Parts: sequence; C-alpha cells; structure tokens
Amino acid sequence: MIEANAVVPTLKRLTDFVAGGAVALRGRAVLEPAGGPGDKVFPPTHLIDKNARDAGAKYAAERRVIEGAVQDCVLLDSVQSQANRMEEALQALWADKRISLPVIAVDFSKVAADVGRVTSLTAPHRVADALLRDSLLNGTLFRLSDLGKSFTDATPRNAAPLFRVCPTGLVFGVWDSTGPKGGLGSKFARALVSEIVGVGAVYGTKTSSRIDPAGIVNKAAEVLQAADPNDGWTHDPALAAKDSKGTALKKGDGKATEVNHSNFPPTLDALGGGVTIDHAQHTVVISLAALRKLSFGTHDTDARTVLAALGVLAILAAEDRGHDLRSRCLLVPREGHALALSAVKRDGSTEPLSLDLNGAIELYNESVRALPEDLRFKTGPGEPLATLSPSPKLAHLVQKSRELAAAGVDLEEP
Amino acid sequence: MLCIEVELLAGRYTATAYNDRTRAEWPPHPARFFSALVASLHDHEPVDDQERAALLWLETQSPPSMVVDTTTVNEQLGRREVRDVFVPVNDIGVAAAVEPKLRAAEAAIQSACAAIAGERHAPVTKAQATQLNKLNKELEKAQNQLAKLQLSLKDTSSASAVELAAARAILPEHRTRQVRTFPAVFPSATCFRYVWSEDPTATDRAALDRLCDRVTRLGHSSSLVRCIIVDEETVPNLVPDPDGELVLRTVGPGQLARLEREYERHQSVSSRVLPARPQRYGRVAARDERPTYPHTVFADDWIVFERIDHVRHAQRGQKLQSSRPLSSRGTDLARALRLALLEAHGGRDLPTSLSGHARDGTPAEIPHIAFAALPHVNYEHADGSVKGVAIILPRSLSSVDRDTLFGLIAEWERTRSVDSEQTVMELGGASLSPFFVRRTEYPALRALNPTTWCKPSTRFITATPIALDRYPGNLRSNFAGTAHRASREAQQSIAAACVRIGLPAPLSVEISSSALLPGSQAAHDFMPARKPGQHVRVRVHASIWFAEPVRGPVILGAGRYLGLGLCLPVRT
Repeated sequence: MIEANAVVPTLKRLTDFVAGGAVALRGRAVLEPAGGPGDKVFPPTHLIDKNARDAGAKYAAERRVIEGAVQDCVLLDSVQSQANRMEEALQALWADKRISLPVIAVDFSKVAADVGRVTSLTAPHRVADALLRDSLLNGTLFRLSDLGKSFTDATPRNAAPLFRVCPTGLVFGVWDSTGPKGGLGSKFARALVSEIVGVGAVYGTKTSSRIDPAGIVNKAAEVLQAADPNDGWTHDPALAAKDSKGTALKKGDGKATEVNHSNFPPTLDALGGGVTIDHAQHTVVISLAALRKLSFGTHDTDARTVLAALGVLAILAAEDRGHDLRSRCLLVPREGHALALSAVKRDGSTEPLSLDLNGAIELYNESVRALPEDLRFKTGPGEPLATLSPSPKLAHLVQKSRELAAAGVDLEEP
Repeated sequence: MLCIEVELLAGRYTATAYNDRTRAEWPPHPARFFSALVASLHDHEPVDDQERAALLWLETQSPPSMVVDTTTVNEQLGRREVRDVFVPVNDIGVAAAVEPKLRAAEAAIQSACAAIAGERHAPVTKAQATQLNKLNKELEKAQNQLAKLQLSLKDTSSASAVELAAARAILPEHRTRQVRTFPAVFPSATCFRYVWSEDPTATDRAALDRLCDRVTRLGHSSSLVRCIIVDEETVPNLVPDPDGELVLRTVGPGQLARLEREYERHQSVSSRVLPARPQRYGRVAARDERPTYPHTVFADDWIVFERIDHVRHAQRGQKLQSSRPLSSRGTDLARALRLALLEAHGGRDLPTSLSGHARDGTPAEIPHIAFAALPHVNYEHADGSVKGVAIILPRSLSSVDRDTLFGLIAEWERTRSVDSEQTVMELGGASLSPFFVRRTEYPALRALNPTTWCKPSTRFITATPIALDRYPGNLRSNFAGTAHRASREAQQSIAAACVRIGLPAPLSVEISSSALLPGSQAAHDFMPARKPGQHVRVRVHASIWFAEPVRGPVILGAGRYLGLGLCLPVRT
C-alpha cells in the first residue's frame, strides 16, 4: 500500500540514493486472482518423479511462517521468469518509442516468420546469446565485428562498454560464458530480484475432456496411416500404407481419438490441478549497492542512476502490463495494495516512495539525458543500435529443419 | 564485541548446503559470510591495506555466535521444495566452430601486416627480400583462410543432422535446457547477526564497516542482502557448542590467503569447495550452567566413512556399484575395515589401543578403537541399510597413537583407493559384496552423524543387538522359571556392560529378541561373533533407562568393538 508520506522521487533524490544514501529499493504488492480470492490459479509446473502422488506435486511449494502462523505457499513466478517479463515490458516501451535504450536485434522474419525479431532483451542470454553470436552484422559474425568486440572485455570495473551496448545486462545480470573468452568471459551478477509467491495454497484437481461436436463415436472407423503422406490418415484400407505383409498400418491404436475426433473421457489430474490461494505476495528488490560495484571510468553515479531508473522502470512497466503469468493465472493487485516502492537505508529504515509508470518513464528519460557524452546512447527511441541478420548458413538450416519437422522427421539431440 | 547484521532484502536465502546439493543451507555459515567480505575486499584493485588488515584480524577470531531465526526454518518449515529448473543453454550454434578460426585468421593477418609494415625500407639484401616474400605469403595464406571461412558461413549446400539439430535448438522456443536447482529458504525473521566477542581496533572496525557496505549478496545472486555493523548489545541464540547438533563452516587463520590462492585457480568459473573448519553450534541452553553428563570410555569425534553407491574404477574404467547390506552384515564390514587398516600397517607392532591385543596376543584390557557399521534406523522409512562405517576412538587414545591411526588411514587411501581421486576405497572380503566408502568430515546423513549416536539421553535402544558376555541361560525355555531367570541374567549382564564402558548402572533394562527400533533387524539375523571353538554368544536387543542423562557413544557387550551393541539415544 502506498503510504501517506510517500514522496515522488526526483532525479536528484534517486541520484542521492544511488550515491550511497540507500542500500536498495524495494517494492511489495499484494495480488489476488483476477476472479477474486478463492479462485483457482495455475502455478508453473516442474518435472517430478513418476511415483509422486501428493496433490500439487508438480508445483514448488513451501510452508512458511508468516506473522506467526504457518501458511502453505506456492511459487507463482520465479526470479528468472519475472526478469524475462520485465525485459519484455521494457522492449514494449522501447518499441513504442517512449524510451531510448541500446537494443541489438536479429531479424528472423524472412527465415522464420513466427520467430520474428529477437533482441538482446528477449534472447535467453541477452547480448551474449548464441543467436546473436551466430548472426552477421554487415556480413561479419557479430562477435567479430567492431560492435561485438567492444564489450568482450567488459568487467565490473570497466562496465562502460557493456553499458553502451546492453545496459539491461548490468541490471538483470549476464555471463558471456561462450564468447571469445569462454568461461572467463564477462560476468555480471543481477542487481534486481523479483518473485511472486501465492499464500494460503490449497491444491485442486484439474479435469480435461472433450465432447465431439459432430458426435463421432470412437469406433466409427479404423484410422489407418495413409499411403500418400499429404493425406495423413484414411479409413479406406485401399488408400492405406501397407507393411511388408500387405496389411494396412494403423495410425496409433486405430481409434478416432488418434486424429482428434470423438469424445475424450475426463482425466483427473491432481498432481498439477491448480491451486486456490488467499493472496499472492510480489516482492521486488533493486540492490543499489550492487550498482555501486560498477565503474564506468567517468561519471559513475550518472551511469548507475540510469541503471537504477531502468530497474524501477522495468518493475513498473511489468506491473502496468498486468500479471498474466500463464494460462489461467492472471493476478491483479488487491485494492489498496498495489506495488509500493521504498528506499532501504543502511540501518534498515525505509523511506516510502510514490511512483507510477509515467513518472518512472520520465525519471528514466531524465537520467538518460543527464549522461555524459561518452556514455550517451547513440540511438533514439525505437531504433535498434544494430540489426543483425542470421548467417545464410543458419537461415538455410533453420528453414530446412522446420521443413523436416513439419514432415514428421525426428531431429537428433544436438 | 563486534556485531554484524545482515538482512535478506527479498526475504529469501538461496545457498546450497555444502554436504547435500539438494538442500538449502540454513543458518548462513560464517565461512560463507567471510567469503562475501573477501569478495568485497577485491572490488578495488589494488586492495585497500586497512581492509585487508581488518580481514586478517577477523580470521583469527574464534567462531562467532549468531542471532538467527532457527524456529521458522527446519525440516518442515521455511524451505521451498527443490524442483528441477530447466535453464536455457548458450553453448549451441552453427557458427560456433568457425568463430575461433576466423578470429585466428584475422589475428594472423594483423600480425603479418604489422610485420610487413615493419620492413619499411625496400629490401636491399637477398635475405631481406626473402623475408619480405615470406611475410607476404603468410599474409596471402591468412587472407585466403579468412575468405574461405567467411564463405562457409554462406554455404547453404549441406545440412548434416547435427547442424540441423543445432539450428533448431538455437531458436528461443526450442532452446536446449539444462537442469539446475535453486534451493531456497524463507525465514520469518529476515535479519540475522554474527557476533564476535573481541573488540576490533577503531581502524579495523571502520574498514570492516566499509567492507560490509559492499556486501550485496550472500549465496546465490538472488539472495540480495544489506549488511552493517551494529552497536547495540546483542544476545546470541546460537553459539559454538561441542554438543551442538548443527555443524557450520567457520574460518581460521590463513583463510584470506587460502581463498585468494584458490581464486587464482578457479576464477569464479570452475567448481570449487570452500575451505573451512567445521564448528558445532547449539541453541543457547535455558539454564546458566551446562551440566556435564556422565560419558563412556569412547569419544564422540569419530572417523566416518560414507557409503558411495557408484564409483568409476580408475584403471578398469568401469562403473562399479556398491552393495547395500543390511545392518546384520555390519560386523563383516567392521572386520573388513579393521583388516584393511592392519594390512596398511604391514604387520609391524601396532599399539594395543589400535590393535585390541596386548603384546602377548591376549585381548586388550584397555579400551581400544572400535569399528561400527552405521545403520539407518528409527525414522519413518528407515530400512536398516548400512550407510557407512565409523572408527570410534577411545577417549584415552594418546596423540601419538592417534597420529599412527591417521597414518594408517592415509596409507590405506593411498594404496587401496579405486577411483582416480584416490578417495574411494572398497571394503571387501570373502563373504562380502563390494562396498565402497569415502571418508567424510561433514556427513549429510543422520545415521553417519556422530551426534545422532552420542547426544545425551536417559534412554538408549539397541540398533544392533548386544552379544552377551556370558551365557544367561535359555531365554526361550518353555519353563517359565528358566526363561525368567535367564532374562534376569541377561539384564544384569547388560547392566554390567554399561558399567564396564564407564557409565553409571542403568535404572532398568528390557530385553527383546525382536527389533525395538524401526528399521533395525531381529537379533537372530546377526551372525554370531565368535572365534572357532567358542560358544555362540547370545544376542539380544535391549532398551536401557538411566536415572540421569548420559552421553554416548554407547556400545555394549562382547561385540562392541565390531559394532554390535550400538545403542541409539532416543527422546523420552
């Protein structure tokens, strides 16, 4: 809940915090299922032992003591997943031309239209990702181009090269473990941690079933593999693929359900059947002390302030998009308990802050404008710092592998 | 007094227990905190002398006490279930193989060009002309190589299965994933403190304060922390305690140098083990004085070997699997361990405290080292399987004999290890399937933790049956009188056995032929411990009560030096 004495932070105040006035910025929110308390939500599932029998076994649960009472809790969105969502939110703001941010993009639209554009914000390992490494910038492999070489030697003491190319890497962490220096490549720990945990978890059962709108009965016909691969399946033995003895080959077990017709009787899944929660706690922390470990050669505080503002912006941008975590898991802030930020001082005392998304955008843009010449972002809002293209070999291989996948050919594990 | 407070900013602490990678560590070990301070020290190069001196002071201090929440984090509470998380890999790609070659070609071109540029003047002598020719050829070769490699990136003719799979796996949705786990705990009280009793000098204190200011995380990078020296009086609730159940890693003199040396090797990238000293910690007792309980002639710092289920043989290269014997085969394992050490000794005169025999070959009168197989008993799913073996030392063992024993163990490890790291040994024998062990200082399993067997209690129950010193009579006689008398004899025999190992006479003893602890086996399952020509000793389980708590290890009866009569202290 935003406290009565919460102050809207100015750039000056944020700079003071970053310079040493605060250890961290922390935000807390109380969320509830969009359907109201007591509605079922679906947490992320994990692989479990096949002998597991407990209700909710696929979820990551914990029993915590909260305000003196033992509560069953369940993880609703992990630190890594939250980081991905925040980066996506930043990318949306950038694509909307509301903020300027160095972004490196790889355009896959000609090769794989559904993949589209992959950027240093959405690639799994950010600017150090294999996808960027395999792509070309003006005909040269990215990491061999001037831009790609510029941040190879970045370290916390020499963070400027990475700041100019991928500042989100300094906030969310990045490890260039497969770059030119292998395991000794640039390694930056995350400075931002965000997590959503459901409280008061009671596990439920999920049912899956289907009623065929055409009323096809399962035994209506025997489903056979078609001789012509374009057809997929047939019921006519004359048109079916045959084995060496001349008998028609069944598709799967030969029932109509094999090709998605007929009814599917309900299955009950208690291992991953969703959970009802009383509420969810969203906790987010930006460690300003971690940002203070970064040196840029000059104007350290200005660069660190940009990173702090970027972190705050990421949090509020993700908040603004709503917590639509996955299918049947939409969370909304409880009345009066939207995300409230505060600055945590060295002695543990806190100073409440009041900031909304527009305020965060303004704060960030102001901090970016205050950057010195050699750290300034070279591109405007919505403009990528560089657009890479997949190498012809990669493009060819991606297309070919998709053709094969569509034809049902199984590809080896790499 | 120096008191440092640490707050878990996000309310979570993610750090893996040192002896069990599937569990989270709690409370945060002092050694880990020291490492965090050392990391902060190296934020600046060159390192600040005062900060360095302060850490050198800190490492000489005795292990700190702690104020930490120990009630809301235990086996059932405060721990997130550890689930496999699939993290996308980055070591995948189509151009990955070509990239280093391209880089090498470019570097070759650059050096060739530089060399040519160095030959500023036109060649005068033949030698200089040849040299220039050679450099030009090298340049041409490198340029050709570069062109060829660059062409390979455009090569769309071939598509091997491996390349296709790599191309598919590089796209974000299909990216290959690797399993990782992130064990985390969530204490209700997110602040904890380390308390050292000595006062630092003003300079050291100021330096430590600067270091604390730069500690950003403890454990995994998601455990962001706030760290500060506090001035107020602090009453610890967890203190170093030789009887304590918790073992936390602490540091000693030389730790800073050790960590810095290790860093040269691992660069924060390779796997490494935190050098540390184990220290037992216990919750502060309610009473002022800790009472001293009567103890046995055996000590509670055992040498423990844990069972290793799978090991790769160093020479043969095959993967070997350990057997999982039940506790009834424990005496065979104990004997095998004893023989292994005797063999390592090589037959020269062993002191009585180690061999168990006097000079003339008669059984020793003084307490000597005992060998015990440690079974998993007394828990809900205990199966009585042997989790490892231990060498239990007598309290009276001299330091010379102790050194001899360690020498024997080292020799055994050196000559008889089966794996490439020379840590895993095989306990074998005529009637024994291979059983692989490795010495461990920090056993993860309860069955292997000496505290499990040694903690003070008023009641002890046998995990392995006691072999009675003298024949009590027919315990299973149909005649009530005979059986009853035999039973009394057995009880008295056991009471005498308690006294023989230094305990006060017990209040009462109950005997049974069937197992009394979940997981342990009936008395008759255990092979008799006898020499040829001797009568078979009667084996019984027993439940023994003492008037006041006594401290273990309690091993009773004729087979005590081979692990029979091992009693578990149970809660009353």
